[in-house]
Amino acid sequence: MNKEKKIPSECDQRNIPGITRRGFLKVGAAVAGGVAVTPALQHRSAIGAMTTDVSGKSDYEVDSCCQFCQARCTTKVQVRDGRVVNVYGNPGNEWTMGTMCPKGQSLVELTYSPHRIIYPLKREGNSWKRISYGAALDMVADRILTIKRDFPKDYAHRVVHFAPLWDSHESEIACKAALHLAGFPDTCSPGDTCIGSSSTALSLCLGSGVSSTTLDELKNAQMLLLWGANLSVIYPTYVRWIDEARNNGVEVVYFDPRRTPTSKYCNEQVMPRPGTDGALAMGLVRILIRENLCDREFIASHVNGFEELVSSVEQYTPEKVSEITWVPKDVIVNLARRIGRSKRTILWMGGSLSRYTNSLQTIRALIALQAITGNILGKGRGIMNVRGGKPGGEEIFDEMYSAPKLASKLNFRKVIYNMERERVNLLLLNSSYRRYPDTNKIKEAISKVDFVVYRGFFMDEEAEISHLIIPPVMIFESDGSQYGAQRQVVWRTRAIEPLGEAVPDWQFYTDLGKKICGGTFPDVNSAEDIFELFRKNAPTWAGLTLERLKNSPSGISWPCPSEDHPGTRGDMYTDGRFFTEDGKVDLITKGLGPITWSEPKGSPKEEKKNTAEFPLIFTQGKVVQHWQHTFTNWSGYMAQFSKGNYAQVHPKTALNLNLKNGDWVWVETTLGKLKMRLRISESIMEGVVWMPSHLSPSVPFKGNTGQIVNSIIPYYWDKVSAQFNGFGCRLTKA
Amino acid sequence: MTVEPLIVYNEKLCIGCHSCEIACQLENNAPVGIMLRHVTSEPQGVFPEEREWIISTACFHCNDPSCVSACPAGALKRRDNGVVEHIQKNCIGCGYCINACPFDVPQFSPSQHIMRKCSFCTQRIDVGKEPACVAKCPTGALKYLTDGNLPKDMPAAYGKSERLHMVYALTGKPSEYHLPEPVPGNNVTHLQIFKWLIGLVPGAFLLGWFWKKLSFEEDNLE
Amino acid sequence: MNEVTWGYPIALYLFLAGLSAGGFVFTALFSRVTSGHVELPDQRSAVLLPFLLGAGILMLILDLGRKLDFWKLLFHFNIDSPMSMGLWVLIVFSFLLLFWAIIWLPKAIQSRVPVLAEWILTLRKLNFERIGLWGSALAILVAVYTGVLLSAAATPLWNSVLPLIFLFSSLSTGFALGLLPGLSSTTHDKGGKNIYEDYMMGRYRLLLFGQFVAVCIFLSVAYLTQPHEIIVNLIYGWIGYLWWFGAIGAGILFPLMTTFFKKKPRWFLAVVIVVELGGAFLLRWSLLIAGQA
Repeated sequence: MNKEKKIPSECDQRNIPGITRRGFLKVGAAVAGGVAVTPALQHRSAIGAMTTDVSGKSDYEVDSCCQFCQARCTTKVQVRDGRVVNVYGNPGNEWTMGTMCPKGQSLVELTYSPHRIIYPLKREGNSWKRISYGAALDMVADRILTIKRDFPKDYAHRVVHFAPLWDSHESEIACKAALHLAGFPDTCSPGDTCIGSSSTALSLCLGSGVSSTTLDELKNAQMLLLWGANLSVIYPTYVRWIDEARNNGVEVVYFDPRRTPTSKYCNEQVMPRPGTDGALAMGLVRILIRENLCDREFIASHVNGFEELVSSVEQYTPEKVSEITWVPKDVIVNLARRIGRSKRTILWMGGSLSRYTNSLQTIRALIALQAITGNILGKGRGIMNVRGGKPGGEEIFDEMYSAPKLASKLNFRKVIYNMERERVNLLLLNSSYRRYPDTNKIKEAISKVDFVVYRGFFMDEEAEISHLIIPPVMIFESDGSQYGAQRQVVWRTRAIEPLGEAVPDWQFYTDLGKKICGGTFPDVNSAEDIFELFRKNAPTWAGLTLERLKNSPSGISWPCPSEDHPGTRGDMYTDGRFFTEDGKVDLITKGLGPITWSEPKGSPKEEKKNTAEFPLIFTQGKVVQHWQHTFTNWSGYMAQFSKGNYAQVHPKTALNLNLKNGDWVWVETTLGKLKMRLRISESIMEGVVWMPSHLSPSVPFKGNTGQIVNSIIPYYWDKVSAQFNGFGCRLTKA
Repeated sequence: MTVEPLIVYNEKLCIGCHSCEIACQLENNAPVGIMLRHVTSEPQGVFPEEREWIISTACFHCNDPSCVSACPAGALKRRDNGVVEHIQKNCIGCGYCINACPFDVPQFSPSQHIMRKCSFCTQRIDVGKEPACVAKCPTGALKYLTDGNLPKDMPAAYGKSERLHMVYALTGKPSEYHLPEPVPGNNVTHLQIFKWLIGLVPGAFLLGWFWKKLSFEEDNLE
Repeated sequence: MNEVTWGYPIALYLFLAGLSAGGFVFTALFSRVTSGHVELPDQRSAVLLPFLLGAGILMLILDLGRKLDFWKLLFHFNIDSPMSMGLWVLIVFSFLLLFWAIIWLPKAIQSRVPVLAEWILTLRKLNFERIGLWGSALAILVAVYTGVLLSAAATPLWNSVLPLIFLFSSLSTGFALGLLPGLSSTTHDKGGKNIYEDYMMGRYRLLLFGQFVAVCIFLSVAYLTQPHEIIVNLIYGWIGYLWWFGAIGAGILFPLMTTFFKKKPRWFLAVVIVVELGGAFLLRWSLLIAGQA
């Protein structure tokens, strides 16, 4: 390095006691945001500020797992003097080889963050008063019981829950049990803004929403279609598997409109216009059918709706598809032929495929692509999702632990509709409202709810609109099972006692359930109890005893029907039958019509009059160090790598608008505009804008702090989940 | 004890995830803003040849370290196995090594009042574990070897022929990554004697000249 | 913006160390000139020297990250490190300065501590010219050390000419300090020459001129051997103001110019000297921060 200092200028350590420029250790309570919280926030030293002792020894290590993505890296948590000092990957984990990405590591800092709320807080005007957990719990229970009393006939939709990506499976089922047994069906799943479309499409076509196979099958394939899955950002610990596959001769084709670090792991990258993946899939299907590259035998025995598919794809000629997708025609044709020749192809779909109003259809088209080539069953074949593991058997448990005649669950949009009309009296806000599009609309709807209970960690935007904060624990403080993308179930053991009066979600909902369910809540008193309860009632988990799980660093993949069963890796449909009614792939679904492709709503290519005003295609996405809009934003360590809001465009796009790298620009959509810096890059295609979406203003770290990107994303949904990409926007110099 | 520790960085496998940076910070108690290992990247070129080069660098662990020569408090020591170790309990935070290092490696940590730099995770390699950065690298871009020999499929690497203990297998030219060329070698503080002489010789001359010229008889004084 | 590791405390340390070294040389020369025979009140600067050096060393200690651990420097001897070696030289030199200060304590203070007065009489019987000569050699070592400390680092701006500049700067500031109390002197030799104006002032002029030449060599070497960005930090911008107006103008050229004036009212000379000392500090400070930027 020449004498160029690399101190990150984008990292501002304000508000962390102990980190000062030159000078002495400042000790004092940190105050974040505009609300004074002094009695409730205790000063805790941020990691590394106090000591330079590096003895490398810990008192003990505890087996745990990361709470973020579904790679579900198992870990070894190092504890010294009752304090978590570090976390390493579990070297025995065959999926991750004992590695980790930065997010899981940020929890070492976050657990002890001086900004963290660890006592329940009740709002009093503009300030907060600390109350005990018992009092907070009673407050919520009493309110719920009052609602039931005051609205004996229609209380069902008056208590609503926004679910997070849960820290443990026990928390998830305790919450659902508590609410469903009490007669409240509206537990809004995070899948609405995640891969709900993908899981739904898989469910409809194959009978189960999970990946049909596991990672270890990659090396048995001939071809991998890595479609919209930027693994280097979303699943860093899985990237090795791509390298291993490639070294085993697997041809890796990567579909992504942007060049990313994942690109260097592929043999070919196809860059379709954002939102046109479905058209591309249809085009490929058409070529395969026309050139007789399908597996007719498999189609006959395993696929329903092939004839309808043939007529659906007729219009997707290579010319038309090329025009729609911006992928050259010869690339499409060549690719189709190679797919046709491959005897074993795995399709790995990323979350971005669920980000459009046409997502449901897109996934159906992709499933069709695999189905007609016979590439769903068997070794080296299958369809993988970036979410694997919602356990089979969940529905049985759900039904058992619901009130008789429980009202039908409303989807998220209907819940918001109710809120706007003041028909919701209590909201259990267990996650961020900023993860939905048109966040201001969501915020306004929530503001009409009488009582908002926030299960959160920091004084963020959610806290701002809440009446009561009951803080949960972070993962080092809780036990529980978790599921991952390889259908594996792992068990996490608590490494330290919960800080302050924070309680795990399973505890809170159990306590709440015991109060509001009129005695019907199961008699459970620990995470283990809840686990055993589920295991007893879910046949796919029957063989997953706690003892076995605690001794399995890689977890055990369900279905695992008995205690001597090793778990099921690879193809899940082991007897060649799917979980649909007739055991075949259902390419027709009542109510969804034929598989087709349409422009994402609001796309500049849509035939609408205002799209000329918004000619650029808007996309947004994750960065490797952040877990969407949530608490990694409160990590100073993660702030070191973050760059605030920025809009990334191709040099020609910038040139056409007379913009230079680093200019301040307005990014404007039909909903609103945000000001941010422009970053020019060759990695993105012309006419597309990309930006990171993790930022929010309440965060005290430069790099992590910024404006809420979802606030300018219009409120468009397909039948299942929300759209975040593909609509029109424009850039103007600020 | 390890024989000859070697960390190899392979850019072809690196995805720029920063896991190694924070792994190092956590293992070695480095506060926010003090990165003993840096991941840097810069875009280059034009589509379709465009790429973003990435590199993860730490201290070079020079074979002839300037920082060790500079330290007045005995806080820097080069071990026989090549590791240039920073002994934190001896460090007084004078900052001389920071100025002596030609590669801007040591950093002053204000909240800890001393200098910080990579010490090759001696607390881990001495008990047979990998350094923290290697242990957590998800893709294997960072590899740890104990016999000093590079893997066969990695013929060329920056620092290899100079037998550095951190080598870099890159896809471009080292200068693009702001790596020093030539590879870190001779100690900058070695030619000191000349610097002393540049001052001492004229100084002696001046002194001698002044001394002689200024003598005069005492009874000249009134 | 890069972190400047060595800021004004180190600049002060370098300045004060150089000043005390140069001041010693001046008082040693002066005592040789007068052979100590006359109780001139003008060795007062000698008394100041240990305090100046002490203040400089205090600045060094205060600049450390772990200030209370400074004693660790005394338990370590690293021949490769100018910092380590220089520290040991400074320790010996500070004892010398203390000793020197006691010898030259003015009568007024001696009278308060009669025991001291007797010691001093004894001490003055020593061959203090010898002490002065060897002490000056040590002082020159100290002055040169302040330059070697910087030039041995990896900073490109701090090239090998620095020891030469700091040598001249230390000596000239030491002379300035020594001349300051003498401004009210009326001592003449038989030839009617004033010791200060006609003997020491000439040397002072020479030292300033030497410093100027050294700076020119430094700038040429920096310009010719380094990329331009390196020297740009020093000669342009706000640091450039400090350098040109402070280090060069106030520290060298202005005092140099005034040494040629015939009529020099005392107060004017006092101002010049103070300005020169300020300029010398700015010389070190601007070089420090420009080098680390």
